[in-house]
Amino acid sequence: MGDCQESNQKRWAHLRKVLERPGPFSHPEFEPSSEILDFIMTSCKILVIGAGGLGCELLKDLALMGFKQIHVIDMDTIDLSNLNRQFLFRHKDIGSSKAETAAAFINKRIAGCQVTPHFCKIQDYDEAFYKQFHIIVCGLDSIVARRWINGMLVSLLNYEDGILDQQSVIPLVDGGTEGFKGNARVILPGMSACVECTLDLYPPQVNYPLCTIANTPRLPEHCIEYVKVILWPKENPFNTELDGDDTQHISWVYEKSMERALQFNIPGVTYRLVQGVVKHIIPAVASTNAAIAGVCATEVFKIATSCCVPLNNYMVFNDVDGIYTYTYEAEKRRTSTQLLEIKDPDTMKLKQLLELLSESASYQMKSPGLTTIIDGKNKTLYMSTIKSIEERTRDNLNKTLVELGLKDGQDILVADVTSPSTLVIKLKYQTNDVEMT
Amino acid sequence: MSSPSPKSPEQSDKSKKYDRQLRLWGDHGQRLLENSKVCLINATALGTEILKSLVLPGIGSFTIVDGEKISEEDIGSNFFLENDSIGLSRAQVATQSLLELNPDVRGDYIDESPEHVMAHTQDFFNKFTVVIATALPEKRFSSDAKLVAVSVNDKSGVATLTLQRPPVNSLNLELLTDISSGLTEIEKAKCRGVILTSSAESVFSAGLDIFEVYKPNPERLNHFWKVLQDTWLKLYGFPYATVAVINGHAPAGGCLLALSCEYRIMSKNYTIGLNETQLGLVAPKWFIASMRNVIGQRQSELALTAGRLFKTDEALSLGLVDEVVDNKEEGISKAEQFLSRFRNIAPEVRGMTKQLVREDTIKDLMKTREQDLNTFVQYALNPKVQEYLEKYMQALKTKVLIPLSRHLWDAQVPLVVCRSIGFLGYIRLQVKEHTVIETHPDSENPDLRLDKPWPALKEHLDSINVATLDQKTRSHIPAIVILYYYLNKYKEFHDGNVPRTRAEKDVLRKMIRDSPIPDEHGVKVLEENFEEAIHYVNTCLNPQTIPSNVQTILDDDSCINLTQNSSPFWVMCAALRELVQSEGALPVSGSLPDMAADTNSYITLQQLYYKQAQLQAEAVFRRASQIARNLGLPQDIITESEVKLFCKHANELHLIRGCCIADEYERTSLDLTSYLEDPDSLMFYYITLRGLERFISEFNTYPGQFDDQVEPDVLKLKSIISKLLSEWNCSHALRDERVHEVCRYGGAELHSVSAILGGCAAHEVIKLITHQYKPLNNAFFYDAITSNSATFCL
Repeated sequence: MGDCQESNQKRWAHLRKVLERPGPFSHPEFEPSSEILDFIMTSCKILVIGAGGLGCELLKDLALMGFKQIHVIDMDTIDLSNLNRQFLFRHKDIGSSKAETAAAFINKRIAGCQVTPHFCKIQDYDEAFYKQFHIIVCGLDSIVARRWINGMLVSLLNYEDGILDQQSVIPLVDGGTEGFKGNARVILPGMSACVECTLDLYPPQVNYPLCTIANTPRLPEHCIEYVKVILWPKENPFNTELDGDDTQHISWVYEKSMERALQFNIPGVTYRLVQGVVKHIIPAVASTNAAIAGVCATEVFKIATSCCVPLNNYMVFNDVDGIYTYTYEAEKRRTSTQLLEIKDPDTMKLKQLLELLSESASYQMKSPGLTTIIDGKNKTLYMSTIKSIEERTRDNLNKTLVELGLKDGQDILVADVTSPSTLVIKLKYQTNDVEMT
Repeated sequence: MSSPSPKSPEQSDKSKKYDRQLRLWGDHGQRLLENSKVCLINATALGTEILKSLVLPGIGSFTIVDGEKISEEDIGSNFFLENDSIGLSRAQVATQSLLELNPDVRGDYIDESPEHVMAHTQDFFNKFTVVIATALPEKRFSSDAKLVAVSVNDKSGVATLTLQRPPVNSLNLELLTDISSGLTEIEKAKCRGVILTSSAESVFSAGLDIFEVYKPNPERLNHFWKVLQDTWLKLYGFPYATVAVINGHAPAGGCLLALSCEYRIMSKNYTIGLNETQLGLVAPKWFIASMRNVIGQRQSELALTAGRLFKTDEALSLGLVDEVVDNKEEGISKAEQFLSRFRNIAPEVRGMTKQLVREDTIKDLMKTREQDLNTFVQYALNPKVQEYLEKYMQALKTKVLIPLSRHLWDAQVPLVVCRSIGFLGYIRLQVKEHTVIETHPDSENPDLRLDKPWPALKEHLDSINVATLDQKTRSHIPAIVILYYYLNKYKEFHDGNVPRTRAEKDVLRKMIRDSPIPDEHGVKVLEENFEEAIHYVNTCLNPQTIPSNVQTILDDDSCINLTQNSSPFWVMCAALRELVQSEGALPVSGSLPDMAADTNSYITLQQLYYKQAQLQAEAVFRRASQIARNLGLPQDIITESEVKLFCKHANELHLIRGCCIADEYERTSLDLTSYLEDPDSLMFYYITLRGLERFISEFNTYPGQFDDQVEPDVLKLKSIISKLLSEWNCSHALRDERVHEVCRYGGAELHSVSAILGGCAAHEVIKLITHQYKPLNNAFFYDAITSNSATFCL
């Protein structure tokens, strides 16, 4: 058994010290033994989602913490602006798949490590794929993708007589960074707070009111948004949608924004700012990514080996002023069918219900599709993602809930890109009339 | 439609590559980064992780100083050492892999220990922007390396056995074992003779390794002495001719090795002798016999009892050495000449004769080996002897960290010291003085000056009569215009005072809330800009005072008493101080937060703030130029754009005056009570770490490094820590489990923990280089077990 021998190599002496010796702070169930390293090296399967700033670090960290069965999934290709932190990529790799390039690099550098790349979207795989992993770790910059994988892991949970089958729990370790700030968390789906429970922790995207953009711009950002939202669709300069990676597009937006800024006497439009606003660029540095990925990899190691008690369950990191960390237990939100209180079903239109689902801090949906059962029959209320259905159901948007035949206590099935599974929402009408009499 | 010609400033490849970080520290921060020179001492996993996060964002250059060879364990934890690089220079391989990360960065290395570099090039470290040290002090030799080199000259048939255990060829178990096996190898090679010499520049051998005797593990101590006996027996009775080329000092055991040879050739100006009594030790009988057989009973007695060390020329006149030479090369050629004397003599005859001459001395030891061993072990374990050894060791010890920290402190080069051990991480910043203009605070109160508007602002604000505006105009004026208007109304009713207390502010808030004219339904609709005005009541009415951190800087001696060595920062501070003295406030920052308003009224207001900021910055610039002129400094030392940036951030200026690590380590009392009474404080990690450092410097290993030494090391570390605490007059004790946990690590470096620490340390280095953001002050501990951290100012 080559691998058994490998775990005995002097090369892994560092890991063996913490895995083969007892410690006063280890997990109560921890039993030091050489089998733990064997498990990590031969059986333990890890999925890394994202091969970007965090992903590159995660792959390196996990491979040097003894993990060998690693999969990595990323739909992106390498861009020049990645090279200041995504250290597995070189100039010659620009345009190649991140997942494939990263996997090849790790496998070459670390003898015996077998990273399997997947150059695709997480949504391209189903339960069968995700089920095979012991632990999943995310280094993503997208909240939608986080919610999707979170939903996937929740849907894999198995309950027998209302009791959670521990075997069906796949721990999720999630890291995120923005400039000099970051966070890391451990999610035990069904057991501890998950991504949906703490949606309000993600800062809402800055949106400028349309009337400011159109009529009373004050900031350079207002000028840029004007060009992006109003001028581009109107003039359609390249007969295509605005592409933040196309320098000609950005140059056009820059010039038009400058014109508008000059017209209103607004200082501060720069090429860099234009790019940042158009692409929603989040600043990033190697150092913060390294720290957060290190925290995540350490947690994966703790969960896989029980050599320490894992983080419970949220860590905040900030190195703007010195280095600050804070850990706490984020609270779990009740997950049974959610009640949605409706003030006035006679006047509330379906359109408004959709807006509510998108804007509310606890739903933050993108393009929800709604179906329900009326008189025993399935009825699609609205769905924007499929063109023919959208056309057929568009008229429903301006109907009120009552007009659509929705009753108090009605279950609405909501499908959205933020989750692989359908969410059930129960309408609860407020009965003001009764109280008033 | 034809595409418009790109008149816009196309970005260079470099600014595209660095785009995501330029949004944090700007082009001026990047320039400083690209001009920086960073030195890393020891390319451990932590060390290369730090450099990685500095090479990627594009520092100018780095230099790695590391004398270690790559071990298998290194490969298992360090990403930048390739699999097939075992045995190669760690500095070299790490440098090559790191350079691949960024073609804009230059890098070189020195394949020597930092001690060596410091000893030979005193000011080597002064040229760096920052020096980073990991795992310092560290074991200076690798147990895998060959401690002796054997070479046989095929032509002359002469074998050379070179001792090469840096730094001073101390005879420990491993070196003796290697000498012994080296002799066996030579014996098999059937050569004409052996030259015994040293690879060290000024030491032949410093004698028995005191670490073998000081606080020993009895089993190893036994083994050690037996191997010493074996080695001596083998060398003393070696059948071929033996010559010692003593190319450096040879005290105690070093002298014994030389005396065991047949002939001694020594370089000038070194010392030799059996000085055991000077160390409080008694030389065993066979040591004495080795000397007596060379210089006779009388001279041996005189030399041994006094523990004399003889200079080369004295040793020659005494017959302790046979020839004196200028250097090693000459010594080797003289040694070859000596060996050639036996060219015409049959080797067997020569060997047997030597055997007979030396027989009695050898037999003496053979007969009493067991007894000799017992005497030595008992003697070594005697507490008196141990006490003596401890004193001797303290005097002998040459710490690396302490002189380095002192040196860099004086040279004003920031030093970052880091360690990653098991689940524990540590970063210590040593910086004599560090100044920051842009601290990038997370949130700041807008600087609006409504309490004391300058004339132009006052004129503008006074010109708007909010109460008489029509509905449409009202809803488009900026919040601060509203706030200023009602503030004046408030002052009319309150003797000209501004609201200070919460209740007073509530009155003002109510005035604004009640101001709208009711609509046709009798409802007062509060427009967004009025809401904002109410919001600003809380944050924007406090009189503009000088923050205490800025006042401290303005009162600093460096600000008041400028010299020709004053940095531009201090010259600007002195100019700022003059402005503050004449105007009673800091210059206005010049930026206006966004507020609901129409473009015109907002931009008009924004221009007013901007212009005032420009005017004040120009005034500061004039003063600063004047000050620089008076000091005789070059005119270009301060630029107008620099002063503008400085004034914009005048209320967030930051100064750190640090503490020298040498001072910290030499401090005799340390009041930890306040920390240790807090059960959540991580201060115990500081104590653990200091204990760990002391353990390493005393025993040359990490506690728990060897599987069979964990328990004994726990006891040793405990006693070291309690001694430390009593030295600091600290009555608290460290919980045993903390000591156990550190010994469990046994010096293990877990890559993911080093990755965390590497990211953090690199980040602090970037702050030091760019002079942006506040660096930590000054010691950071990370506990990866609980993912908690703490910062202490030591």
